[in-house]
Amino acid sequence: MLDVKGLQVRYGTVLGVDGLDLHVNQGEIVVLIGANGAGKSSTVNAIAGLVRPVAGLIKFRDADMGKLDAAARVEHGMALVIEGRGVFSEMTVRENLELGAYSRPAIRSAALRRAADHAIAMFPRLGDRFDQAAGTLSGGEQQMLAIARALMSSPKLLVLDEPSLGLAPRIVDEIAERLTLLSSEEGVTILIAEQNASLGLDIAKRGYILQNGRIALEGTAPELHSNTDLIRFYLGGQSYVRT
Amino acid sequence: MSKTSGWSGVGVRQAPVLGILAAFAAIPAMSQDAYVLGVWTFLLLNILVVIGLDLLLGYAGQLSLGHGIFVAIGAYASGLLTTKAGWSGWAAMPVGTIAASLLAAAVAVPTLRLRGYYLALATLGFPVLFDAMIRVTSQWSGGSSGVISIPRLRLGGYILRDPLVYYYLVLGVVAVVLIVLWNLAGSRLGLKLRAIHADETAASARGINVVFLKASVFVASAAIAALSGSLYVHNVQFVAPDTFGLNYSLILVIMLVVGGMGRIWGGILGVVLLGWMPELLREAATWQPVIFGSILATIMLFAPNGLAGVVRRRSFFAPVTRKVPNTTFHRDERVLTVNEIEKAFGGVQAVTGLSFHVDAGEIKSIIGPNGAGKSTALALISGAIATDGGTIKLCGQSVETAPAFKRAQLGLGRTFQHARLIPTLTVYENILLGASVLGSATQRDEHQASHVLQQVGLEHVAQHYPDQTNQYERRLTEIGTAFAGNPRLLLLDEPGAGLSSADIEQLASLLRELKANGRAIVLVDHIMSLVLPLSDSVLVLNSGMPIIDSDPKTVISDPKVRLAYLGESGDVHA
Amino acid sequence: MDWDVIPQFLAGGLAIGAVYGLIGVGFSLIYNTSKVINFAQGEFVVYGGLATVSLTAASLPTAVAIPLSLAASVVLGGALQSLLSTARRGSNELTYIMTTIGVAIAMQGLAQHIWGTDFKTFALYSDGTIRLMGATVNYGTITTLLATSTVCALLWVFLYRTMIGKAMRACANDSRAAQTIGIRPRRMVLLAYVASAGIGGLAGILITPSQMMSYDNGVPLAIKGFTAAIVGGLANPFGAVVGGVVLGLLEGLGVGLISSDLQNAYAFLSLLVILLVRPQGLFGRAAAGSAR
Repeated sequence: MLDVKGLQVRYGTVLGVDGLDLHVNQGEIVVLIGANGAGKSSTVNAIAGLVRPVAGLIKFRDADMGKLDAAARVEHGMALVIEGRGVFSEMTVRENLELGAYSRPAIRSAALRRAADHAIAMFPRLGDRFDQAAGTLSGGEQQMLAIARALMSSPKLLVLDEPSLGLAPRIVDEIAERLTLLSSEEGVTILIAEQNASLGLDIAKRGYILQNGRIALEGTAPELHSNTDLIRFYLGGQSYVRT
Repeated sequence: MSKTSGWSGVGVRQAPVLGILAAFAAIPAMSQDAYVLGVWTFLLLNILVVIGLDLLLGYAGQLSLGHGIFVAIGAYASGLLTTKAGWSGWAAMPVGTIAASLLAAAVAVPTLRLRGYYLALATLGFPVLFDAMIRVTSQWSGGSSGVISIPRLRLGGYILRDPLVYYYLVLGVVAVVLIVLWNLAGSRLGLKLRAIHADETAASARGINVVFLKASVFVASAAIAALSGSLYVHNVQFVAPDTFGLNYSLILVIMLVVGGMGRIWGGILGVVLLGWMPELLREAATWQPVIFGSILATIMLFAPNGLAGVVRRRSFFAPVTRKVPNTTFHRDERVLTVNEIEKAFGGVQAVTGLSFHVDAGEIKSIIGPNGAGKSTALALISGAIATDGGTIKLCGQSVETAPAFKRAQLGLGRTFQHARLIPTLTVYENILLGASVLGSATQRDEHQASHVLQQVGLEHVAQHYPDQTNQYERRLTEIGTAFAGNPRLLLLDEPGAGLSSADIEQLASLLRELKANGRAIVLVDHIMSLVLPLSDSVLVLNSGMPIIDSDPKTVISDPKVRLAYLGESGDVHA
Repeated sequence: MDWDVIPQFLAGGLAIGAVYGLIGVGFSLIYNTSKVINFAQGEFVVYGGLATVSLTAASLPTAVAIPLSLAASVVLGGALQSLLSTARRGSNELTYIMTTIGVAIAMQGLAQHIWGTDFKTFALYSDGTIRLMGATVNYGTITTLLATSTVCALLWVFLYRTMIGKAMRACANDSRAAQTIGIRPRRMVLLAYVASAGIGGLAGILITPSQMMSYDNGVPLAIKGFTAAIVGGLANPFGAVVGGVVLGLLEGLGVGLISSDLQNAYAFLSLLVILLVRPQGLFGRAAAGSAR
């Protein structure tokens, strides 16, 4: 469904992503794991069209995304939940959800409400806060709202950038559970960029491990779990405690 | 060695100004026609205003759209005091200058306190306001018909009537102001103003009192403009309010922008090029606004650095070779005490109940997953953002309400997560800016900055601008800038991000050296190979709350930490 | 001092204040979507008013002249935004602001060539008054207030009840996130310029019959509109209308009780006072970051 080849992203003179290949098949949950600064955000932002790569090919549902802006990619069936959630803090939960369907002008009023109800059903906490400004929600609720909003466009591919960012483990578990349901029951394909390896590998089928803008390792989730001491990627490898 | 380079340095440094002044001094040799000299005198008077405006707009980045009114204040003060009160022109001159300064100060306080372009809109109101004032006071200000028969200046019994003499008088004043401004702009003050222009937050972190400096420059440029106005009326002997309409103020800005902001000589170029246009366009005078407006829009869109932009700025600062003894502080002294600080953004509690302390010679690391509140914690301690509650003590003083620049002056140096160097300053100048936190003796700061440059091993890129260096060099510059001011406390926000393992080794040994000098360091980073061997203690933040604060070994084996990082359920691995 | 005249001053200030408010709405819309202060905002007001003068002078009925003038303003607004979008990537706010200043100067110069330097006017409503709470209120005031209320109501419906209006608010709130749900920020900025120019043009049409209009009124009107927006809090377009009315009333009292020569000074002093006392405006939440 998504095929990325030779992706390169540059910020000024700094190379954020350096020749990255990845693919996501229909119906999969794929996780892109990496420490801070490994190039996760650059990758997903390039996939969604928020940053322009200097090189590389991005194919989504057999169409070349290279010339399309972010909005056109949404219309094509891709939805990104950006790092830090990006809810419209001064607008109500309801308005945030409605705007999620912005790329589908055909759905209005009754259909829109149904879609919103459906999104709320996934995250019942949001229902109680329908007319509250999104900025007054807790971090976990904002993340749920951001996901629910992305679902309003009925995406074929949902891309999440660090959904666990700054959230308590309990909330992360809840979100992970919802994402699993989303994949199994509604057939949404999901790509998660995560630092939290567990959230990723517990629910994903396959994963990539990203280091310094390149794929360091790829495999199925159990393979990655067993083959690698994942903690090395976070707590710095063998030499971390000098005794 | 430093002496010879110093002397030739002075020569090179003053050469552009002396060249410009020599060219102006030679102008009467081409034509002594009274009319032509009158126009050149007028251009010189505009140069006076525009170079002052450049300090404000080109250096400090603050836009004044009513600068012509300061000229008007000088002109009217001289005109009215000499004709109505019988003062001598020389005595009236300072009155106008002071009046303009006072007005500037009164407007600066409400507008420059804020970020944004409030000064521009407030000063845009000046011409209209001035016109109204003149009309209201018409019984003594002459109203719209202005003030006539203003006496010329005298020197003893000699009346300064000869256009040639007056030209050289004005040139003399321009020379004094130009040399002063040129040297100020090339001094550390110029560096500070450029820093304010580029990034007010980073400037505050370098101990710069941003608001005070912006206001001072505005007041100074107003005073210079008023001086120009005084000299103007004693030459033309007449003043009317419509000379100082909005268009005059805007043309001042346009001349500066066309010539090139932030270069001093750019403004002079602009005045000489555009100052003649009213003469040339006399036939099409009514098209002037259209032409000037289009020029301004075009330049801003396509060449915002103006004509001077084709030449890259030359730095007056070069590292010196002088050994400076490392400052060492007493160990074990308490440098930072943070007690129960908190901060919420909207409904998100970014930091809650954070308490810790750091002693001299200690490295305290703060780690935690992304979004745990580490950067927020540093911003609260450094004063970049205000706390919602709690107390912060720096070297025994309570600083939780002190602005960022005060904390920097009290001995707090910091780096930012994404290096916030001033792009318009060279690597060496950035470090020198850091060394000048206390604004103490120039020499010592330059020695200190040179020493730091050597310490971080960046001599080879000293004269490069940040965009000409690589990521590691920029990172080192940022760290050097932070400790060049000899801070007791260093806050480092992800100094290792994006660096190779070899670079990280070097960074670690630099930090060890700083620790050995007795500095207290708070280190935020994800790279454990940097954090763990260096730290005396590690504090783990998760969801804005501290979960453990202990020695590295204890922290790393704590199940709560693994849980926070990896999201592993505690019971699985317990 | 005859206190009976105060309601009269207030009535006069109310209508003018409503117009200042409309100009302020334009500042607010553009600032919120693009963080640019559009110094050419006052020129839209001048062009709207003077275009209507010319068209009615060409014996077009006002019902035709007004929509045509508004259409012209809207086109100018779109043209200004297109021009600004040619700026080099990475240009800072100062670049955009100074470009709008250049455009404002050029527009004012062109206006002088098109319409000359005389004050001009046209008839929008018949002479006549009604008595209301101790003041004689003329039809002009009533027309202006009705038109302003209508614009506010339409703007509210647009921003809070239509998808595209909500998208514009979303863009003002977080334009990066807006892109991820299919909103194109550049279109929203264009829309903001077009709407601001249209509302500015309407303000010109409303103020010209009572106050007269000349080519150089743009700057004082821009300052007043900006002051209205700051008083109301730049982040909130409806705050600008309230800010405009407050400013209009102050100005009405000032002109009545102190001096009409200083009419343009009251806005300026109000601007300084509000920046000093409450820079975020009456209804704003810390829109202006204070330099620490």
